[in-house]
Amino acid sequence: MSQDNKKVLLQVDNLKKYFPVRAGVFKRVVAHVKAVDDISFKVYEGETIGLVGESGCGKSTTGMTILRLLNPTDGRIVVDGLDTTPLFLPKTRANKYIHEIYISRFNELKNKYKSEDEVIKNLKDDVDKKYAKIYFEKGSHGLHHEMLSNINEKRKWFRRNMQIIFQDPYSSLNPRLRIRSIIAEGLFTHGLVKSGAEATEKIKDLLEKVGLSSEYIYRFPHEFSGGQRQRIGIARALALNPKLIVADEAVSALDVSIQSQVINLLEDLQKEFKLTYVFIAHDLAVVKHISDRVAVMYLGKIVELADKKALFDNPLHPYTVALMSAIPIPDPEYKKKRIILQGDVPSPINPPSGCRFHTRCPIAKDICSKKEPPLVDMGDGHMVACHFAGQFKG
Amino acid sequence: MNEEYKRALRKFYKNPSAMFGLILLIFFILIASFAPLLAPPQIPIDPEIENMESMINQLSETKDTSLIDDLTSSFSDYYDFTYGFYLDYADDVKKLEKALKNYQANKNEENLKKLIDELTPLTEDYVLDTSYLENIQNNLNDTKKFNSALKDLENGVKAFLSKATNAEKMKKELDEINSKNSSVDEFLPAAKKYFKDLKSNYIKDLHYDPYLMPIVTYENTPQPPSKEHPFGISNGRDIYYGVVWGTRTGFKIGLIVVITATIIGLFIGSISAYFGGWVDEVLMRITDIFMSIPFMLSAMVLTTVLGTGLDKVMIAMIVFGWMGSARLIRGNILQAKNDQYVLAAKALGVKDSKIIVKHILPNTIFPVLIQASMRIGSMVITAAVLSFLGVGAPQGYADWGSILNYARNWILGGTGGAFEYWYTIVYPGTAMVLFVLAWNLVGDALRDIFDPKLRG
Amino acid sequence: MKDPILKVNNLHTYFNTEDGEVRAVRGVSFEVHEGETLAIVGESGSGKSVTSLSIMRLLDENGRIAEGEILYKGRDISKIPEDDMRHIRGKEIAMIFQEPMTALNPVFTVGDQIIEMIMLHMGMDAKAARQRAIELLRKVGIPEPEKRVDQYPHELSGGMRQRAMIAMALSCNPKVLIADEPTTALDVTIQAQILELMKELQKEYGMAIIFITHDLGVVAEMSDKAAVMYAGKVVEYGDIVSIFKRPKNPYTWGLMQSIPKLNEEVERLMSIPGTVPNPRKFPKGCGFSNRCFLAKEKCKDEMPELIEVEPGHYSRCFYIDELVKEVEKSRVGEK
Repeated sequence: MSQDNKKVLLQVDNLKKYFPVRAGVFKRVVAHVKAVDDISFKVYEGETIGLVGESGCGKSTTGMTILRLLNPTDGRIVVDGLDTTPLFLPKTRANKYIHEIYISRFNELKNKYKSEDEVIKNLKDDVDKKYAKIYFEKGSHGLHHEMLSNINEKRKWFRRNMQIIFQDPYSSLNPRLRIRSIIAEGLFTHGLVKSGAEATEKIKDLLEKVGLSSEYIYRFPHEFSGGQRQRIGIARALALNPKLIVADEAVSALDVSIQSQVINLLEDLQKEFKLTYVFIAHDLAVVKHISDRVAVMYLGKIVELADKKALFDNPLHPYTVALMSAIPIPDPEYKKKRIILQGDVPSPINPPSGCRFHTRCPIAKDICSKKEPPLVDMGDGHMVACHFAGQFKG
Repeated sequence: MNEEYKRALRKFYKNPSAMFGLILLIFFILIASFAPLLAPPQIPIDPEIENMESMINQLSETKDTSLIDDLTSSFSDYYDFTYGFYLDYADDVKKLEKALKNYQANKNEENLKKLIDELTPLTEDYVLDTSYLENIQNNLNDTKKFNSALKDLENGVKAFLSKATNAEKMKKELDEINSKNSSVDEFLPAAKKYFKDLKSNYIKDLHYDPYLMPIVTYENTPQPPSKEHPFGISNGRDIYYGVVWGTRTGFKIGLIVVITATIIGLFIGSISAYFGGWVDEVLMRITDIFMSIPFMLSAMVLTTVLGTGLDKVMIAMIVFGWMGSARLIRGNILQAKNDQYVLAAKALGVKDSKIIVKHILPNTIFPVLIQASMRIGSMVITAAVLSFLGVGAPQGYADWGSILNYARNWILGGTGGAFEYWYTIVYPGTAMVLFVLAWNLVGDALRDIFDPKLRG
Repeated sequence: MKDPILKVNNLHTYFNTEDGEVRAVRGVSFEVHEGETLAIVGESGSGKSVTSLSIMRLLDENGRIAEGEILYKGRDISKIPEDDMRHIRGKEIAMIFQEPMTALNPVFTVGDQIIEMIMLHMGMDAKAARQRAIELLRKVGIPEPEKRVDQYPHELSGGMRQRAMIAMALSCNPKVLIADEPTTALDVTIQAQILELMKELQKEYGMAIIFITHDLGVVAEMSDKAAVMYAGKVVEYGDIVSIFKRPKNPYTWGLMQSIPKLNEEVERLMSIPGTVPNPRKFPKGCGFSNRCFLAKEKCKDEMPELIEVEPGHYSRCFYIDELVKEVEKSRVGEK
């Protein structure tokens, strides 16, 4: 499949999310937890991208930051060609962001190329091109206006199109609300229904869609099992007819026999509603089953990103290789060599220098602790961040 | 909700200690509401009035005309003694009122002089209190105090005149009686009406407070339970009366203090949690400071500053009693803020204010309310301790702590043995223990029912 | 063949709750020999954890072993007095838990807790016990055991804590080790370390391991035998290869078909409809009857017996033959 003629729905550029660590009487910031540290990836319309990694690798934080339930420390989040980063920032930070990311950069480029057209021609990124045109036509005020006018509508548009399904089916539904109120909340917030009766009809429809009886509409969450609650959570996200859904460990807390029901449901809904998924999970087998492309994360970085088949048939990063070999295969006669990684994942407060995996890597050399390997394309969109990519096969 | 509600009720019914608590509580509520029947307040009646009453009764029975003269003379005497005075000076006071109005309409030296001229003879005759005059003359230069003195005077005059009007009415009635003294049948209804008015005026002027335990004997040592005083007598006061009316005091203290303190706490705690940052920091440090002050000490200081009295005690307990709920609600909100359903609502684009009202508060407020219900009992203990230390309810107030305070000197018993005066402690003490127990049991049961973690 | 070290016979464990008696375990039997690993597989509410707690006699106050026997070296430990049980617990049968943080006391150092166990059960003096504790920590792969022995549980990472927990369980050379989801809370790379460690230790000490898990991958990797539990009963029991290769129970087969596998690619996962049954209201007949694609009227009313379908392989189902046909069909379809 060629990715060039597919539409980019979500583009994440150099995303960083640091959490301050405070200590002492005055709650001084003494360090930062670098949960997500400079990651970039694109999500194409209609695909499922899997984010895998162990606990503390920043996969959930990435999901929450994309959805703007957390504000990014740095970086850009573009949805459907629209830079949504400044939409949820405080006003001063939003203005500073626009100035830093666009205006000052465009000015520098203009000095370099001496011509506005040359600048636009030399910009690689479509989003950059779009905003450069606006800047050169309407000036800095015009760019600010373009990005920050009608901010409430833009925010609503963003919320309507970007939804989330949570891991814990128990704490993700307000225990004091009926199913109808839980699902109706989004419908009313976005004015998608005109009357209560219309909402009820729509909610009954949604419940049937996610495989629940429409008679359940007036029940409370505690009357349902874990799998059923997860379906309700899916219905809540689906109610807004979103384009992209972030599924944050959406099946991890479910019983084995229920997991496959929910996975199948997610696949069916994707076909029916042309959904795009960002599927966050620690279970490699589940990710392999559901995703089209997979990004492997380690300590806040993407170490490998490729088409599913390429990644699982030919993993290039030693961490990916080790991760795959560590997963027990439910077949007693399947023999394989297992790579046991030594030690624990280091703390994201003070990550190792150079390549973050070098402390546990079986093929680490001197250079690994000194120079950080960039994420480079090894062909066919198989991206990997390793100095010795493909040299470790287990 | 119906199913859940039924389940909660069933849980409550099945819990014997909760039922016990509930029954105790209902028992106390009944006692409090029927206190006037269980322990009728004994209004101290003037012997003169008692005498009149018995004469009227006798008259209606015997129709003995000779009693008519006795009664009319009693009425007249009583009238002269109680009301005559007001009528005698009514005109003078009216003149004063006019002078006062003149002055207020036109504040000049001349009018003031006239006002003082009118006032002086009245105070000299002790018709009005001398303080009225003094306050005006001493504060000629202080506008604020002067105005309040004028206001006082105005009220004093008004009160005097209303009494005079009443006296006039009584005089009319008395005249009517005097005109009808020829026949018993005509006299009796008029006399009865007059007596009724007279008695009600008397009770009104007495400012009788049923919460004051009546003094039944001037004997200082406690008296053991008897037929008239089933719980005995302590400090000359009827313990039974005190225990019954003390139930009302208990509810009053518990409910008012806890409700007010909880509202304050909820307000401060939720502001703190919602705004976060330095607002949170400042409010929580203030809370810390309040918490680090020893409660008893500060409550004692505050009641000493404000003066004794039940309302002052309650103010002190509110001022030093809101921190618990503030902290609890803050913690709960901070926790709920990160609950996934709150994040989900945020992801749906729901407004912050709506998230708080719809998602956060309903899930955080119950523990606070339950904790509050459990604190109602302990508030009564605190108030009792303050009373026991002598900074609580005023002397003679029907309050369990005060009754226990009386027992302080008798705790060790007397010549008759160590437990000679047991009743001075056992009855009010038992009432207090049961009251606290009732609230705690009910609060415990509520917590068990509403804790979502324990829900199936 | 030697006698099994632990044999559970028709175990019933009931709990008294406000909603009446909950029959969490309704007749479970299995046996495990020295040096052997038995996996108890099941989903939430299947009764697998209650079974393990029953063996350890660590049930909550409202729970009781209503019926059946637990034979340790031929002696029924289900009814012996608590005092005698205390000598067996820890010394003869040890247990490790899913979340080591709840099983380790946070106010004592890791060393203190191991030393206490050793002194209690082995009668060593403090110095010798400390030496042994350090030795054990080294054995379970904790680096710098001399230093770690004086650290508190919260100073260790999740994987290290689980290792310390294992060291504590092994401190008295138990004959049986019950591991209740010991790797569920861990990351896969750490899980791999712990599983490897347990295998090595088993080889060295020769104890029997009862491995409780819901992860079929871990079962295939670790165990020799498996007991698949559903709705408080064992539905399939036998050696691991015959269960995985020739499943004879629709639940086991459904479960295996519904999980995505790393070594296979399927277009669509098979899924078991319905929800995991709540122990408060198990179906009347076969526990799986309301979700089973083979279920007929009979299944709803009657509970099938556990029958031996091939030597050492048992299944609880009325329609095993139909199932075998279905399995054959799908195997052909795959190829």
